[in-house]
Amino acid sequence: MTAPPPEVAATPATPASSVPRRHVPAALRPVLGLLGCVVLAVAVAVAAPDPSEQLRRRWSDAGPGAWAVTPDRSARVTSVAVVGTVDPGYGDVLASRQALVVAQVDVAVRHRVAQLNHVYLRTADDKEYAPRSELSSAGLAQTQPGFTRHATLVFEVPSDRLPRAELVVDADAASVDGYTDAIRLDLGLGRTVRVSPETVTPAPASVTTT
Amino acid sequence: MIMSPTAARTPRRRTALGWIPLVVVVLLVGLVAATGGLAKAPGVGPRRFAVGEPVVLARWVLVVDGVDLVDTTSYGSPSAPTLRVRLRATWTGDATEPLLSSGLVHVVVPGGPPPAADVSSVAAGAYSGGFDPDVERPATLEVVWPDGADETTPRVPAPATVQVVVRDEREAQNFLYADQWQVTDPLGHVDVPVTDSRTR
Amino acid sequence: MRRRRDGTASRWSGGLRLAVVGGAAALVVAGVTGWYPYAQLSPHVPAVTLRPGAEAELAGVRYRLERFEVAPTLPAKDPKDPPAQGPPGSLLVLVVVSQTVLDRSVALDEHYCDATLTEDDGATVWQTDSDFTTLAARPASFGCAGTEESPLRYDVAHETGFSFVVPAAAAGHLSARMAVRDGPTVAFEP
Repeated sequence: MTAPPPEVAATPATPASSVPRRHVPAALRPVLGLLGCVVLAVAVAVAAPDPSEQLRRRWSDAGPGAWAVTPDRSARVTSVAVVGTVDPGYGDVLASRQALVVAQVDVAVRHRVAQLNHVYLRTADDKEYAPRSELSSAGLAQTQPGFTRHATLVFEVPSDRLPRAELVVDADAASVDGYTDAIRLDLGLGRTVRVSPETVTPAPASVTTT
Repeated sequence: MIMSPTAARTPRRRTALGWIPLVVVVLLVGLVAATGGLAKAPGVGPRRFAVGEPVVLARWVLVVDGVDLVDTTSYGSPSAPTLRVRLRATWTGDATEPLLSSGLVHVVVPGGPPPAADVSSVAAGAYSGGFDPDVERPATLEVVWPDGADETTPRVPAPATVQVVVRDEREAQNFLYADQWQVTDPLGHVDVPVTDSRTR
Repeated sequence: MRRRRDGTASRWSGGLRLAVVGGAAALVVAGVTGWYPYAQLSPHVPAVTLRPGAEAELAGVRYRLERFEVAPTLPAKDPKDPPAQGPPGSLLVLVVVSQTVLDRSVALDEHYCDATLTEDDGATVWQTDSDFTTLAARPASFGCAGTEESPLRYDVAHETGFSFVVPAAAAGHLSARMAVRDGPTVAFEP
């Protein structure tokens, strides 16, 4: 004879108004609240974009020879040479143990005067190289609207940083930075860049009507 | 009342034992002082670098190549007697830096009259502009020596060697400016023989 | 907890009321102190437009437009030099203004101005040129404050020249603006 099944203890009759639910113990609530805040903070920090200058720019990109257009400017690179020596035409010759990137650029200005004082070469690893000021007479300068400046910029860059370098024509440098348009021009430097032994003499900059 | 022997010994031993830490400290301080540990840091910095040896700093790598004593400007016109320090400098920051940080380098003339306090940067060959990231380029610093001399100062014997003292930079955290770098105490120096290139 | 007149409990305790009133007062004060300087700003709308030969007296200074020239070239100051000219396809603009400071309360060494040239629709604004017109025959003064050789003096007419270089296509619709710092803006038309 089998034993009778053990009796399941009857649940005590509960009043209809009180529905049984799992209570979070009172002592644990502040801890859970804090954890929830921490998780939220971490999620926001991870998801938030890097507050770098790149964020405050609407970029217009173009390849070698093509115009990049923004409302107030257009720019293009017309030629790029990588050499070891540049002759400014006066004084000493600039001979580099690294690479000298000689880029000819055209910048057309519209609507407002442009200083064109924030133009640099940006490498794939985010280093910024300013144009050599020893050759500033060939370079960019204040340009009135309705005109295009034709300039030659010379940058000295470690040879191993050249692949995928680009020329950035950024908004004019001012005491306050804001949300503006800016131009990125691909210099067309591939994986292997050969430094030519020739000496280049940049022509002085010139201005034409656009 | 008979005092137990231990009770009589303990207070005196405790007093004697209390002096021991003090004596040890005095001996240690004396030892440190005797070996020069308490001497004032020398104005030329504790480290010694060689001519041509790269000195790695927080944001720069400097190489001292030589020192010339000249009495003309780079264009050839007469000037006050000047110690011209020839360097190679590499900026290791992320964007082109227009100037060599001021205060990184100064010159000490051992045993001789001191040079002027003002060290100025001048063009080095074809280079007069900025310092590009990780690109080594020549740099030249000049300081008038002796202090207060001008084109008419009578000639004094050139020092055989000078000490080119190098300081580093340290980022000073503050709530007002981003990237506020300050020059530190001297890091070290280079003993450099002086080439006398004066014309008068 | 306060009680309303009808006896029901009011949620607005004394401390809360103070906070609300104080906060509202602070906002009003901040708003007014912010609005007042903004309301004092004078917009750069020209107080008057002058044609060549016309004059006007504003804020203690008499302004007269002497010349408004638009030409492909301008004669050089030194007769031996070639005429001044801009890039091919451009025109030079020379605006000559004479000023006479009459009011002694106007500080002669602080009388600065900024001059610009615009097209009628205002879409393009040119600033004074410093590349192509520096050797042209023109007044010695480039601004309103006078120079060492030609200083500004009370009751003496002082000529200033503003020069610009513009593309030839813009020629027909130009107007110059001279904004005196902390003063009126005067427009000039050819």
